[in-house]
Amino acid sequence: MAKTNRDKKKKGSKLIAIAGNPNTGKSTLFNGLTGVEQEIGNWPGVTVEKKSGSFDCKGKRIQVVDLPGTYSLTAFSADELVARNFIVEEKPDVVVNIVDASNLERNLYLTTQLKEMHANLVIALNMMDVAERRGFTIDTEKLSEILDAPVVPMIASKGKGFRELRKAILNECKSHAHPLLKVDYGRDLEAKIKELEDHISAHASPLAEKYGARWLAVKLLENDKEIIRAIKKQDTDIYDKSLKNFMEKAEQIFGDSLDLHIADRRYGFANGIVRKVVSVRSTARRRRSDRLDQVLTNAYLGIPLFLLIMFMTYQLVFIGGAPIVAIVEGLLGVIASQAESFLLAINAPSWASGLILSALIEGVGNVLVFLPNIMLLFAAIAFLEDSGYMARAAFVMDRVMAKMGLHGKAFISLVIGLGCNVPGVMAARTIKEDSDRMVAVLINSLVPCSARMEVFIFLAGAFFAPQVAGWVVFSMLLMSFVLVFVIGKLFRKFLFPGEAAPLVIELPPYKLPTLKGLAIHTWNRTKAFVEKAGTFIFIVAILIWFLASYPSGVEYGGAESYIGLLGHAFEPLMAPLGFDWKATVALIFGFLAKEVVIAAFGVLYGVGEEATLQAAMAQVWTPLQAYAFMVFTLLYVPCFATVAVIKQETNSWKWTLFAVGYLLVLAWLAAYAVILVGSFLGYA
Amino acid sequence: MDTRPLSDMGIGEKGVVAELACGRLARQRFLDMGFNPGTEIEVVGTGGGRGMIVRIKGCCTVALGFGAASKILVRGSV
Repeated sequence: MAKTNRDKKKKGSKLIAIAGNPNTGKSTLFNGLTGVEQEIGNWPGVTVEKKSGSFDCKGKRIQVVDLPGTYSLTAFSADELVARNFIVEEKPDVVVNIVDASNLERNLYLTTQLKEMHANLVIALNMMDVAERRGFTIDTEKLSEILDAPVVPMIASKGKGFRELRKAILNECKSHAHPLLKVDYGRDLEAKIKELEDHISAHASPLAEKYGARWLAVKLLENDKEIIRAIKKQDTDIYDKSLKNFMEKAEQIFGDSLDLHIADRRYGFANGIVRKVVSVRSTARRRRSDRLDQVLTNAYLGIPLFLLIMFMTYQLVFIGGAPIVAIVEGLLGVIASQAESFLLAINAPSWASGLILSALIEGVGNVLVFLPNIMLLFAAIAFLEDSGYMARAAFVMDRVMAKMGLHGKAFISLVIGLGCNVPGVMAARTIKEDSDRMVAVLINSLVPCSARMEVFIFLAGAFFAPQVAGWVVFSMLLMSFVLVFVIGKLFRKFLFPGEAAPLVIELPPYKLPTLKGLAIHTWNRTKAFVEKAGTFIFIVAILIWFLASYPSGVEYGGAESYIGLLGHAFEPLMAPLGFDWKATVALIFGFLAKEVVIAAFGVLYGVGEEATLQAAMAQVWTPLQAYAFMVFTLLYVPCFATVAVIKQETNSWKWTLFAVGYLLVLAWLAAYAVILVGSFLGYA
Repeated sequence: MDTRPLSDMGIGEKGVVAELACGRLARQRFLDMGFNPGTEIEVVGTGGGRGMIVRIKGCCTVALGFGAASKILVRGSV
């Protein structure tokens, strides 16, 4: 927040915010205003995405912050709180309120609340074409007059209206404050509001100055937890001695449904505006979307179609991405060999070449090869969201997933996790409810990514007859699915208790996303991922390289290296599972990237070729030990790129450490159970 | 006229939101989405028993899970 304050004070620059309902073309408007140059981050303290950018207009620099899309401005969701706090605390020069012209009444409900907060509004009346098609004619001049704010008709998806919007924003930046809009809450309530207002002005004037006394009074009557907290913070006595008493009295008069009464009045206000400014020619309906919904949410077809779309998404992200991954791998190979000969030529010290080749190029490269998949995933998710299908997916999967304590959209992140957990965890972002998203993030690592599948296939091939090997690998998947649902349910019940929010989700009309919108979205998300996770990945890659190469002179990853010593140190702990120090070292290497486990065995057994390595290991381990090792690999800490995104998505080190911790404990217990049951059944 | 839960209505039926029979949190969600009492509502789909797809305020389409739909009480037809 300090940063935006500073931004605002840059000489002559202005700060504006974009507010509006979801599915109104908010991102399109933001992209249209700012172009490609955007910053994506999180709002401080919460996992709500913050997008900001800027544009120049007539020599003035205008900073733009895209507030989360919300239907209202209560304190019930992080999205709404973030939007509201920004407007109250940062006091942007202008708030651009994007309004869906084809769905005016519901949109004006938010507009009314923005006006009540005394925000300087410019109304971007978007989707004029859709409104037109549905037979609505809107008197924009009258709307502007009633709302006391400029109204700019737009078709953002076709780039129409931006010039007028910029002009209106600039004008509004210069103009003076408008009188406060007052919704009439009825005689009885108005009397209470007035009393409360005077009380607040008299006893909590700094707050009244910041938020406006009337707004505070209305919020108190709505029993707004954040505002009550703010007032208590200012002066506990005011609240406890008089306000509380006051509100209790009001509740006696109006019953416990003051919020209902207030919302009703606001809708009444919005409805009044609609009646004055909209004339309906015909009542054309959304036939096309309705007909598509009949198919896509159909009793029998809904789930199969969803699964088909998931399958296609997976294919696009991982199979479609394969050629690009191959190119990146090839490039990395070329870079590595070039770097190697260069380092030889300049006679670089061995630590320097080790650092560059092992840590930088190979270590970071291991993660970098997934970048094409991650980009494709961002594009696929943006497509699903922008087209309107994501809302249907949540509806279609809601009942099945709710039985397992999961959100309808969690399924998508689990499927993606089968390819790679990094984008899998990131896909959970589409879930708006905090606790549902946290559970989805925490359980994603239980789904084996393709790298872990590689390890399973390798070990199954080494220790089991060909006709059984497939079933062995399949048993890993089965165990994963069972654990996802058991652990998911446990977490939902004990870590994030509370009734699941009822599923109420808007189904926006289907539309074809624009290529430009998808490209901007994908580019900025990928950039943000590389910047954030990149640093962490780099540090861990160096750390692992250091552990494997030092003290100086030891064989890379050998018994005398630090990593070897670590392996020995943990050996007693792993002994019950039948793992020797070599297995432990391989697992530590696996933190880098799961497929590295096999390469690590190659180094440890001094065998490069895969078939020979399989034979060498078959000499040392029993099939039971190998199976326990597979179970451990399935469950223990995800690779550190995944840990990095868990941190990014939970925005909390506590939960990140919890994720790592519970997986380690679970892995140990499960592997030990395999050994116990195996021994009991007579396997060695 | 009697009220009945939205979840009991069939495709094509219309009515007016009469009451929100739920806790504060859920009520706030319903209100924000436009289910304030007095709002006209029309059932346009059921997602094959998964819940309800309704049109409110004439143009906004909203999907509700079965649990959510049973908490909205609707009065007659308009």
